Amino acid sequence: MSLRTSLLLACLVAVACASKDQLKPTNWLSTSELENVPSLNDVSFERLENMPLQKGAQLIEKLYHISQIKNDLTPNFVPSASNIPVWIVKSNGDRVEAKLSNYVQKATAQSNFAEDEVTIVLTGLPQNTETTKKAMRQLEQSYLQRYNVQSQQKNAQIARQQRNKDYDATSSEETGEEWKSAKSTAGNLIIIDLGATLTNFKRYAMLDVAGTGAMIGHTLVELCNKGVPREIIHLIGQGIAAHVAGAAGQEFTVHTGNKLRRITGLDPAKLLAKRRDSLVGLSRGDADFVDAIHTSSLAMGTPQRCGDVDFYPNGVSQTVPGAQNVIEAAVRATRYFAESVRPGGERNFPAVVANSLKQYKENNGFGMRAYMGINADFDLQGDYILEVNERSPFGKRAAAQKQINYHSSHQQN
Amino acid sequence: MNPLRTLCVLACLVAATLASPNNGNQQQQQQRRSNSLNNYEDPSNWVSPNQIEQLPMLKDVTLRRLEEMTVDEGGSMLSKLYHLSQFNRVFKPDYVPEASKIKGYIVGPRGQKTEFNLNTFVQTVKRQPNFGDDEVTIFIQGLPQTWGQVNKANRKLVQAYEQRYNLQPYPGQNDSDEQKSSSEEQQQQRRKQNQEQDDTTTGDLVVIKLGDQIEDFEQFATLNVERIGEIIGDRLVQLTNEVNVPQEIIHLIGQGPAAHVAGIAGRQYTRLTGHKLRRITGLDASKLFAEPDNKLSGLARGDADFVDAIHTSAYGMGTQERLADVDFYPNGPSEGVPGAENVVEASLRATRYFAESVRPGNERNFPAVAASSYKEYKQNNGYGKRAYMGIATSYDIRGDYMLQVNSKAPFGRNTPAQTQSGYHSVHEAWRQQQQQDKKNLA
Repeated sequence: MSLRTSLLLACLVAVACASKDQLKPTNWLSTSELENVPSLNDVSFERLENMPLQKGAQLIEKLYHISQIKNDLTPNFVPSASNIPVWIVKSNGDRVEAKLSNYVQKATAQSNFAEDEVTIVLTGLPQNTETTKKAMRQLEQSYLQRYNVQSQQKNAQIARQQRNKDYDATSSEETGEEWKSAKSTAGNLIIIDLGATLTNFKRYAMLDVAGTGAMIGHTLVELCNKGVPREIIHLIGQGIAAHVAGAAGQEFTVHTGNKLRRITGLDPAKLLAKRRDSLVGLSRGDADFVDAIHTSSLAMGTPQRCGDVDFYPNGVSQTVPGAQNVIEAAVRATRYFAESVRPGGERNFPAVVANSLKQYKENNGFGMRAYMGINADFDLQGDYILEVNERSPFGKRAAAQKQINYHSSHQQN
Repeated sequence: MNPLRTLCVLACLVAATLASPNNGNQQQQQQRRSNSLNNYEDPSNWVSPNQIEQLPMLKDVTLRRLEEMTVDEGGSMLSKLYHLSQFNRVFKPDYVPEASKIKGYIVGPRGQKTEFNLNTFVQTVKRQPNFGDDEVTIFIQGLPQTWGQVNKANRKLVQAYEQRYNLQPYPGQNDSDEQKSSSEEQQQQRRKQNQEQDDTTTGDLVVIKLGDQIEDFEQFATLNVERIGEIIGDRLVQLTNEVNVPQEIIHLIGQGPAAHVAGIAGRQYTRLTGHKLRRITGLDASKLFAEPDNKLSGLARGDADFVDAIHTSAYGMGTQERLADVDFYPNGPSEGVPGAENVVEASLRATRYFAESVRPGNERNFPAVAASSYKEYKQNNGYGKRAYMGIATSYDIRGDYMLQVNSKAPFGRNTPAQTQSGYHSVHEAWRQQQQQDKKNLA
């Protein structure tokens, strides 16, 4: 009897000791655990792609937080301008090859360059796997479609106006879906393949975002000096290049006194290497309007707000619908954005102000609806949540319908 | 034998092994690790097992202890505690002080304090005559007033608002503290106040003493900012609905962890009414040790029409993350600020800077320039408009701003405000000043 009670007591005490150790930091990261965290040399994109998503996410989170403790992992990789490939994509899909050091020259030499929109995409991952290749391919194709449809419509309109010179020619007779949704003007696409220089994970982790961004920012100043109006430039950065885009925007402003019109971050990455005495990373103010799409906030991406408006498809979660590994999860943002760029897809991703997927589902989202992607309203501010599909087409347009019903029933009450 | 007995013994053994600290081959590891720059890619060089071993248990991290450490020591310890706890999600937001225990007071027109707790808040406001006629400032304190430094900083802010809103028995009344510091400054202010009412304002000041419910570091780290923020947000909705206080006159100021509470209160208000509060200011918003699962938490742009934040211990008790529409970093992102001897004092400086700016006549004491680092600021490489940190921050400012501050009160550098007509004219003026300085030195 007494033995039983004393044993029970001992157990309770021991259990109490064990749980109190939740508050002992050595139990948060043991020596062996620390030893098992791989060095930057031993992490590879390939390895990350072959790991299940959860495992890859945990590895990245560990690497990130441990690297932030002393804040003295100083970035040391700046690719040279002559090594960064740039593609100027022509409307027929052909690419004019260039480098960061000469693309401005080549681009401005193209006919019909910068008549309407100029979209510059900075890649953030090397395109050496099907996952990353596919995402960028889709983005490129979407823009080609968008700009071709636009220019076709433009030409058709001009032709029509010439035909109908004598009487009113307002609404067009061709009212197919594409024409209706084709809102903005035609444009040019430039891809700055920064990802190609990130040949290993170490370079990726040690990328000097500020230095690289400044370099690219200078080329943007050059572009404007050659007559490209800054208001038509849309800078898009993928992954770690989202922060480079932000730095480029800042550099542009330092030199010209004006801000770029818009910068979009496609899953802005966690930044491991930073200089502790300066602020770095995409953030509001880097352009007139900064929007960010977070698809892997608990993996390679950062959950931190990076823009005036931040979209979190599926909320803040380690699971990403349909993504098997952290690389897939990261490039989901590129694929969602690409889907919105395709003519007719601009309203595929309706989102609502909310702080969690749970809130979104409870229809507890307050505020107006917003469309994630190319059509994001420049007035938007705050955090937006939405649901997405596991496979393409990713956007849940049907949600828009539900929203309409919700608001109308709300009004009746 | 008795299965229960064997089970107990087993459990004890297991629990005992879990409870014992990690000893063993640490000395070996220490020798193997070299902290040379060549090995920067190795995470064991970012933190050593020895450094982790030396971290105190949470119960031993008292706020008193933080005050005794230097700024660097305190910052380093907090940084380790924070980052090591994040990827294991060690801290849960379990600490929810009861609403009835969260006390506060309303400062009346003659400086009298009417007390309330979060449950009786709205009723108490109803009894205040003329509440909500002009501005309503709600200051949510985030650190316990039992520490001398916290008390002083909070007092300064309250007194500054009493001056500004003329909530005093006699105009220009100060306690002996003020007379010791820069007297000419004070006399100027008193003169100004007697002559004119600077900047239109009268207003109501409400103080919520959330900080008094935070007794130790564990409570600081596990505070459920969501829950408290929601409660306060609900109260504010009641203020609007029942006491006719419109959202556009409400300014929430949150200190330390209460900065996040303020942000969430703003979001809650908007969720329930569809409207946004006018302004939320974060005074050294703290690191968020405990966050709810799968949810965005903490102060953020968009929580009000205008959100501003002052970071004075970014690598200490605060965070270097950009939280607001505009984030000010006096002296650049660092563990502390000039003159602060520990991370707690540094954190409270944000309250003191803001308080200084609130005093009538001091609104432009803290001119700042858009920059990414203090170095950039000093190189006069700041681009964009100048902004004034503090009460007078313009609501259309966006971005990160740096500035210089003094190590003792008055903290503001107080350079003469040059009329702004645009970026270039400011830039030109600075250039001329630089050239002038160069000439003077030659």
